[in-house]
Amino acid sequence: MKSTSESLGDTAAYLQNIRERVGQIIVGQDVVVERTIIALLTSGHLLLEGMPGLAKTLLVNTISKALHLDFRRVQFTIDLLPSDILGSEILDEKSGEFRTHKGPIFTNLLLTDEINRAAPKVQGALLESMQERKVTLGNETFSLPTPFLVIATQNPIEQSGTFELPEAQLDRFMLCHRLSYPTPEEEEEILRRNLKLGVEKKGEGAVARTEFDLVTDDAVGTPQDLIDAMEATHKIHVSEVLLKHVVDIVERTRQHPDLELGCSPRAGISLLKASRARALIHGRNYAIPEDLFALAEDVCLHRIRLSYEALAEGKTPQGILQQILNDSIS
Amino acid sequence: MIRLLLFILLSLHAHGSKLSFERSSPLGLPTTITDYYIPGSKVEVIPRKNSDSSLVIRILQTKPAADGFRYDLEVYGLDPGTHKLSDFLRYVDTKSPISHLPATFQITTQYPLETLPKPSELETVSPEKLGGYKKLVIALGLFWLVILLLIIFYRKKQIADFTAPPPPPSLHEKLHVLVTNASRGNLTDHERANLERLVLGHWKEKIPALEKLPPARALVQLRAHPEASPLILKLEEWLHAPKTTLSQNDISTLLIPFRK
Repeated sequence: MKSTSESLGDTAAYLQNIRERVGQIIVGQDVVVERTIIALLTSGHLLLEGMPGLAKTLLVNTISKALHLDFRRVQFTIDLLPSDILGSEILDEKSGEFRTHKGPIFTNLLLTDEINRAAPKVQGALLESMQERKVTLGNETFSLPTPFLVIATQNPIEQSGTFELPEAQLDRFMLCHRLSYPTPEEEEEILRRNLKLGVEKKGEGAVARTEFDLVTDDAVGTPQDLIDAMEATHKIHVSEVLLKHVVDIVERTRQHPDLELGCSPRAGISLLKASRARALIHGRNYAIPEDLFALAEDVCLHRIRLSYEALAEGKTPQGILQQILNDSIS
Repeated sequence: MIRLLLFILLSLHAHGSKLSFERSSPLGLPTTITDYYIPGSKVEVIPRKNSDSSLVIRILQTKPAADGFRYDLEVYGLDPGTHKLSDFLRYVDTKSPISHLPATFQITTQYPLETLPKPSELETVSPEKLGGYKKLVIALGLFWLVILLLIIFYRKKQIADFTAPPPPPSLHEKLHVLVTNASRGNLTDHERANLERLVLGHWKEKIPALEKLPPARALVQLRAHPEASPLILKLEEWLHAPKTTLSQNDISTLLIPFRK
């Protein structure tokens, strides 16, 4: 029987191995990897906002392979229907009976690219399933596989032909991380690695290899390790003082004169859950203020809305949130 | 001789009959007199200066005659009675009245004078006061100036009387109170949370490199800072760890620098 500290060490090492495996394929993006693991451990969902070509698909693919999880990707477009994601009942001509066809949502990791390109009813159907972790097809209700994590992406610059997710829908995402471009050093490393990819021969032909070809099917640990990590997350100690910190941050967003919409109670819950997962990733058995402040932007920013006056004055949600966090420690 | 006498008699008759005549006309209706001979230079109607004139005469046409002119006149009677034409005509050149004109004009009425309707009296409406804007503007300007001076002096007086509330306690003042209570071991969870936030804020303020950093990055650096990290890490352990090895004395010792 392992002691608590040994168990914590094993879990931290397991999570570190996942990060290293991802690091072999993807250069930089440590924070995104951390956020994805946090979402996975807490059964939350992750929204990534960033430019195209930042290896979002590769990242999710690598993590799913490392964790031995099923992975699907759906490109959201304007003509997508809810049944294209959830599935539908199809009439089998031979038997004359309806047969259930499960959609791509029946997976462990679902990457929904450009979620804001789909019509609101498709977004609504997906987000409802995300919340309930169930899908009803015809008269039958199916539970989604466990673990189930949706990683959605949206492009911040292309506004034409998009349906912006309303605040209520955004609130269902535990974290919203804004991806940034790699640093010049990371960019050089990306190019160096790309130069070494070479060509893969297949039968009589050959094809240039991509980063996806580097992703191996070898899993890091076992499915039980992931379950243990999820259980360990829920054992991370949260002090009364930390609870006060969470309430203080959430309360400040609600009281701020420049904010029309502050953080919901769900934001507070998400902040606490994510802080526990981050503490585990960093090998601690208790969460500290650093966890809260590190995650505050990803948890709170997509849940707050500026007032018209603040917008007219050229203020930004990022600026206001930083001001709130600064005020909380002064 | 007989011819000459006859001519004189005829001309005298003609002359006398033309100068002296009596005409009548109903009140208010125009009457035309044609070829009325007036000797001497050309005459004109004396311009009316008020509404009291009894007749209104208009000269329609003037035709030259032997020693004078023949006139076609249009006459309106405004007052009943007999009126002399000479009162309404004068010579153009000398502007002198024609005193020798015997002709009269009678204005008749069907009903007795007393029963005639009289024009109603006009109401005299005095026009609004015109002009005087300059005075009005000056008066308003002076009024505005008085009000302005009152506001300035009244506000100055108010500011002078105003006793400013004490400024909110500074970070270090708040910290001092909490640290003193912490050393006595009687801090609530809320005060502990405040203490931690203030200690973090103190270090963020104290280290210039961290002041401009976002709190998330500043805290990461604080936990690795050679000067700040011993306190920060022990404070974290005291406040957040499920089991702490720190005693009350350790905490009091840690917080000594903040008591000064």
